[in-house]
Amino acid sequence: MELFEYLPQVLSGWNLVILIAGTVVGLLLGATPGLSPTMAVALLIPFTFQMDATSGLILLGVLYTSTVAGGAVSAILVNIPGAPANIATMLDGHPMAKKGRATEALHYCFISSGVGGVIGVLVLIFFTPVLVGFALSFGPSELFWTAILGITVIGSLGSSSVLKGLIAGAFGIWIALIGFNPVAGTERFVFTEHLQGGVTIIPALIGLFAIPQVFQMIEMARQGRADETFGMEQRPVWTSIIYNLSKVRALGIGSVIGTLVGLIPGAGGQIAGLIAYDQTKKFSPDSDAFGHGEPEGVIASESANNSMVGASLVPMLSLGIPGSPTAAVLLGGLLIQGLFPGPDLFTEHAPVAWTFMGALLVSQVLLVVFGLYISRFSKYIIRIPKHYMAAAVAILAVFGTYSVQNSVSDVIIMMTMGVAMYFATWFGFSPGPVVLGIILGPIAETNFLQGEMIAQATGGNAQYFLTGNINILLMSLCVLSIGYSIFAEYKAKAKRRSQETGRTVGVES
Amino acid sequence: MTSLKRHLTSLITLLIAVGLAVASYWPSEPGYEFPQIIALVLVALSAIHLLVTVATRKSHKANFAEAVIPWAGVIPVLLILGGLLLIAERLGFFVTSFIAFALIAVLYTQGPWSWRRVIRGCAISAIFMGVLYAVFVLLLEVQVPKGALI
Repeated sequence: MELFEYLPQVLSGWNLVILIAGTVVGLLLGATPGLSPTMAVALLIPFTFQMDATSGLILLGVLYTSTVAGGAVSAILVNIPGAPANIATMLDGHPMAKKGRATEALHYCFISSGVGGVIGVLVLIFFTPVLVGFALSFGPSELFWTAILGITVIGSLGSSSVLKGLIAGAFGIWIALIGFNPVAGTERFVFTEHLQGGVTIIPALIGLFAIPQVFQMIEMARQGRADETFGMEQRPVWTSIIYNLSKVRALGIGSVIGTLVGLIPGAGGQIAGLIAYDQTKKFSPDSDAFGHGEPEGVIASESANNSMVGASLVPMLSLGIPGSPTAAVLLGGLLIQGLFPGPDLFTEHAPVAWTFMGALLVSQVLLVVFGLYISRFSKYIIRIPKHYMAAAVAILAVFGTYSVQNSVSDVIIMMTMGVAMYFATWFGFSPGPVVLGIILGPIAETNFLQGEMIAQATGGNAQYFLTGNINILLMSLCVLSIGYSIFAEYKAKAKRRSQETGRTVGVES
Repeated sequence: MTSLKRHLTSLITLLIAVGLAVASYWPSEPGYEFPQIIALVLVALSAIHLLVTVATRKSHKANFAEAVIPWAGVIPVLLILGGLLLIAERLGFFVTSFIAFALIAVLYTQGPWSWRRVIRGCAISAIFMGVLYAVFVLLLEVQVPKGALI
């Protein structure tokens, strides 16, 4: 198997250094309240430009997996999830910390993350080549619909409102079209000199994810939140490992649900953690203990959100459809290195793809080792004042963006988009669909224009784009994802309404 | 979200979409076909959104705990970041960033105002700039604009 062929490269000098450094940095960034995995990966993309494609991707992949695991630290210790994926961890992790079992909860978090992570990466290793074989039969029309599917899926499934998600996705595509027409090479929408180079991926990624968090951290600092911390009890690691591995039901439910959710593009880690938590609670003989410091709650949610990481890369590496917003940022990092998802990645760039997947597998082990070690110092990490973090992120965003093309215009674009996104979040829009629109927009346009040319020589646009089994399948999936999200949104609203009515009746009576 | 806020959000979204459509259809040159399609989709989605918002009644209870933009915290940061962009090229990236970091650190530290707070903010800012200089200039060899200072 190719994996074993490239495994020595993973453990070779420079890649191993990146693996270790990436794991430690990722855990620390993840543990810092307010720094999400998506933002951490976006912010560190500029550092990969000096590296070869393999090392750059390893760094981003390791950061993704370790920031998700590290996010549990602030969820457990200060009741603020480091990432949306850690929301379910908070439900039992924080009560455990309150009861003087903070170290124990952190141990379970990292051990379960490692177990779930290994399962997720194994799914990535075995499923991706199968899907890649399927993608071999894709022409411009299929690639066009795949890009549209990616945007509709993230837009509809990954947002609180389907319409707002789709609007944000379409807006992202339009933004990506500023600059040059990819076929004619003519300039368009260059309203100011700063837009002459168009809106490139990195300034957009950094701005959309980092700047809104700067404002949010400032607000947290003003409100004086996240000041409650706990003492860390002494606990032997082996005791935690034996107990954790004995909880096969929670680990199994978490890992399987996390993997399945990761495979669905756009579903995201927070859903994985919450569903796994809910199912583990339902299957537990002591379900009343959940929410009051039950270790199985932490084990299920952490194994779920880390098994989601590897699985979310399956559709991203094979079809170019990211499984989560962070995978979308990773897709940006892949494109910047001149690599395109799909069959070419596993034929022309096989060493890069297999070394990357091997590195993700090794990183799960490192995550457990360093996570358990770092957990004893966690209380110091979470004490970093929010306003210092906000200032550091803002300045790092400026330097990181500038370093990509040595362009001040990029910095202005990054800042403008970031500030606009911050205000847009107050009106219910989220950055995920915009980013995916910016990443997949040019791919959609290039394939649309190429498809048009082919269509002129064959039976016309309608016949070329709207017929063929794969085209119909992809269009059906677009409709299905939107339809399902509308149904889910309607159902959630109806439930909220009935709860509200129930409360009103209760108060009145 | 209040009814007024929801209606305004939908209306502003539609206006932005119409603006993008006008920008896409205005130039009568080749190369704008795809942006025109996307702009039309955007207008259609925004119009549906507005219709849905107008048609949907929102209960009064949902308006009870309405969150508002914390302008008191946002405006100073906006001014600092705007100022950073304005003078970074003239004064130098490192000096401007040092000032921006120190301003945020000093302004948002809780408690009574004191010189100790200013010195601490400046010291942390200086250390952070040192790390950035080592990473970007020495390690990554990025040539950031030096301006009049550094």
